[in-house]
Amino acid sequence: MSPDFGRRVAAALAEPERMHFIRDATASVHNRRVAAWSELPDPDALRTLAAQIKDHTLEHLDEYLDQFIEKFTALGGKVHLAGTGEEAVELVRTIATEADCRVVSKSKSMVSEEVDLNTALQEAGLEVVETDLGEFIVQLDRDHPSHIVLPIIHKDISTIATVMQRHLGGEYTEDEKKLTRAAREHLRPLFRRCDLGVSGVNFAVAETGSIVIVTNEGNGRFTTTRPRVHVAVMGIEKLVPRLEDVTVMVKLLGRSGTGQALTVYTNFITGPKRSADPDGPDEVHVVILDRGRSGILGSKFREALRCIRCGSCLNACPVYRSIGGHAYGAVYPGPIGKVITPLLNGLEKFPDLPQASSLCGGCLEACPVKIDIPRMLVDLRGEAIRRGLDDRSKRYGMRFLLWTLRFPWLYRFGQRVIRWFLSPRRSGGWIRSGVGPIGGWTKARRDFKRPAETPFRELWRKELCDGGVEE
Amino acid sequence: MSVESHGHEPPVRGNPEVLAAVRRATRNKGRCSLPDIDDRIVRTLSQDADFDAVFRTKAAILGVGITDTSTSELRDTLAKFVTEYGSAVVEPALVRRFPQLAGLGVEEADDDTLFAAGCGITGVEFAIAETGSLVVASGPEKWRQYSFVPPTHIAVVEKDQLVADLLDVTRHWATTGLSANSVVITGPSRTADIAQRLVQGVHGPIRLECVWVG
Repeated sequence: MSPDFGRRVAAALAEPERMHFIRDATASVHNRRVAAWSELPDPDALRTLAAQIKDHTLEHLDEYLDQFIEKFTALGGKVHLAGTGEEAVELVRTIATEADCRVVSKSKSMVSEEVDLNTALQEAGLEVVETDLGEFIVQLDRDHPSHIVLPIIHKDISTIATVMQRHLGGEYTEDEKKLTRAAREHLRPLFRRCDLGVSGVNFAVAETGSIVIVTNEGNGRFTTTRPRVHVAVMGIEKLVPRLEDVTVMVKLLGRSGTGQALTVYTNFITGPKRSADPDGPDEVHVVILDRGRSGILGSKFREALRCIRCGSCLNACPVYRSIGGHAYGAVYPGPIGKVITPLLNGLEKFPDLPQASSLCGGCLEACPVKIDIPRMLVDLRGEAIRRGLDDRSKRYGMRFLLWTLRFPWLYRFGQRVIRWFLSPRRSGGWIRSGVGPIGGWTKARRDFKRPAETPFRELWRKELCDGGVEE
Repeated sequence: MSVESHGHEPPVRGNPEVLAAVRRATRNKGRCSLPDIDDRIVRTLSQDADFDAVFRTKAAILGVGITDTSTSELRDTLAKFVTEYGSAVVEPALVRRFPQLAGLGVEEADDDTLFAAGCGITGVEFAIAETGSLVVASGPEKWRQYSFVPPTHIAVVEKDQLVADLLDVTRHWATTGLSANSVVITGPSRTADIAQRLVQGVHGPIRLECVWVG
């Protein structure tokens, strides 16, 4: 474990109260997801269908991208291709400059977090306001979102109340209704004067050139309608072939993300305002970002690009529930983050993330598009070893273990040595601070189970097996 | 800006290498065919379900008010809402459909009127039984903003606009084409960002009223 990751985990675990409510919140959304899936006639079949649609799209992504670009531009939209985050940022900045935009209304977008778009636009002199309530509070507090769909899951009500009072004035209140109304009143004038709307994209439809944006709060409708110019930023993997495919995806997305049969606003945007329309943006742009995705597309990790960013694997994950999102040190936390963060940014920068899993399989079970995250975590661990990015001591330890397993007498002897070695450090059945290889485990505030007084082999021979075993 | 004014500019900008990289990564094809959408898996309602009743139940759970009326009583019904919620902006296309609504509110609203309005009255394209959703679309004389800027959105639904499932809507659009902006609205705007506590009414409407013309 690299010192950075270890430090962040330790910092998270040093706040047991915060971790407690993160655990409660994720558990409650998880339960809502389970209940919402059960309303479907055959949830497993719907997940398979969604996975098949995505797999087909990814296999033919070149064709569907061509088709989407053709349809989108025929409607009067403009397409911008970005290979890197810097290119994406530069393209958005150019659009803003050319259209002489000053004030940006932003709706939630994970891709924009990925490329740090807000900072770049602010440096270019634009006023950028996050309008999703959670992201708005994150922006006020100069914080980072810690969850893909629940950005301030790590903030309790008193923290939120304090932040909002400090920045918006008014009296201190922990009434969620009053806080929400305060944000509404604060952002109304912004919605009136913004001239650039920046959003993400949930799905892009090849056959019609539509982009689909799913939101609950209504800020997405302001962002995509009020400003003269709307820029939507998307990864190359957001495509679906047909309009009816969107039905399958949004039914799973709402149910998996928040337990809703449908999110409040499922917005289909098909080009800029038409000549007879009384309102709507004059220009609609889509920035299509690669940033490592085509590399994933051509690898054995392709299925990671099925992800629809519902966040249900985070809610299902015992590791995420215990350490929260910030400990991952990445834009995408949780199980899917452990896979795509190293793939998008380089395994050498995040060699620990694939290790932070017990491979329990909860994420796969919770995934609406059946991404086999545990399989990919194991593959990434193998990759880390092949590239020499793993912990050397572990590798030699494993070799040593392999060797002792060849000689039963050595194994028995080793067991005795370990029991003797660990016995003085016991407290209850658990070791709270160990040395050597166990030190690494306990340093991250995990207790280590003390070995049993009687090893199973002896227990078996003496008590369980009729007549004992021959050795 | 219309389609024509873009004519002399290249429609695709940026780094063309993106498409080349995707082409290289997808050279091997033929293992994954596009599956047909099996209605039995996607639909949650059986064809003989009482769609009207399901719509009412689902909408009510979301906090949508439902008021039954008739063509002849529509103006009176809406006038009561305007008295309750304050001045209205009314979608001109709806007034074209129901001429008796003329004068109920402002049809061509400027920004000040729009942001001061107590309610926005619009028609819908569809109502969806499965989820209690309403579908509004942009078009001539159809203001997008009337359905989300005022604190109350009043949607006038005619009973033949009811369909069973979102699948019926997307399939319809796949043959007819879409408006520039079509929105499936499932309840009043909401958030649970603050400590996972549900609040209705964030930036979009705080209240959603469905006026059902039977």
